Amino acid sequence: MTTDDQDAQFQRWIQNHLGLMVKVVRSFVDGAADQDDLLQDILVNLWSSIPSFRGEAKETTWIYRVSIQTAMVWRRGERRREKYQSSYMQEVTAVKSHGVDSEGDDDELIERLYSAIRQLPKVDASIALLHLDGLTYREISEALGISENYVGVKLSRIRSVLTERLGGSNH
Amino acid sequence: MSFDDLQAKWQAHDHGMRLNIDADLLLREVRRNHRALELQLWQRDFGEVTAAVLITGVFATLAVLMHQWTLLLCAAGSLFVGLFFVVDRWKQRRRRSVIGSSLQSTIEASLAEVQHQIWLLRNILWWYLLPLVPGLVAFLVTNFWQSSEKGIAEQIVIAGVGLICAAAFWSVYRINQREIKKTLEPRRNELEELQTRLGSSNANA
Repeated sequence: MTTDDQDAQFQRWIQNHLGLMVKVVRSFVDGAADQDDLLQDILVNLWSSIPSFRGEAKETTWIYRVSIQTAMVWRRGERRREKYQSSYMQEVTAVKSHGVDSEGDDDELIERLYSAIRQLPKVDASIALLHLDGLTYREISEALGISENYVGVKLSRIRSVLTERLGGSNH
Repeated sequence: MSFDDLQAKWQAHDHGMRLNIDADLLLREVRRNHRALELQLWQRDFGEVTAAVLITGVFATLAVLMHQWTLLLCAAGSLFVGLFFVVDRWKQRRRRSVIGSSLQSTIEASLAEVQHQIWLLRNILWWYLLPLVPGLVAFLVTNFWQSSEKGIAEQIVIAGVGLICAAAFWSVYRINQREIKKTLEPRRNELEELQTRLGSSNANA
């Protein structure tokens, strides 16, 4: 794969799936600075991962996988940022942190849901995020490298915990 | 509200999908970050090797100029530390996991990296401090012995230098042991917990 192909692929993924990465970031870390750091690491890893992408998995599964892997092993302040870094990434995160839609009460609900997901153990948080996004058990299993049975077992508990934390009932 | 309602609201919500992204600008940013990261790693390795080579050079030059051949042992010790850095980094880089491989292997690679850092710091006495000791001890003892004819003042100065060296070595050792307890062990525990969770998930298959 040439660098031009890699760049084109990356740009296409960004245009189509940046929101997916933003969701992973918000599900794992809180605070604009940390979210900004994690988003940058995910973007760099995603760009680096493109030559390894052979199209065996769906694009979204691959992007989830790289994003979640990065988020799982990410540590606050581990990497020193360069002074010349532009504010563009921060701008993306700032827009994302404050929400770009105007859905009123739903914003608050979704924010509480993110907060509840962040309180889960990391593996459970990943399963919750992918399930909320509508991935099938098989897709969750592929993205995380865990068995479908385990996904099923965990999901029933995760659904209860999240619903309880948001003050609802799990039907 | 049921979970299904939550899920419906989640999927209907805009999580940043409509962000007006300049993909060109973002790509340039990402490539620059990637280069910066590579440069940072390269600078760290280069800095360590350069420091070791410079210290080796200083010791060797002093040995020749002062006719203090014991300093050659210090030069050899510094060279050993520099070589150890290079070989260790090279071996560790080869063990890096491939981005996009399984989550289990990513966590295993991170865990192996942290465990290796713990091993390095726990054994810092053997690969970083002790190689420098024979040369320093030989240099100080020789000079202490030779200065016995010149008077007690010079002996006190040499003994003082020896104590300062010992204190510096002890501080380096303690700081690194504290780093293990404060940062690396909690990190290792966190990764081990993740690994256990993933391991049990596959065992339940």
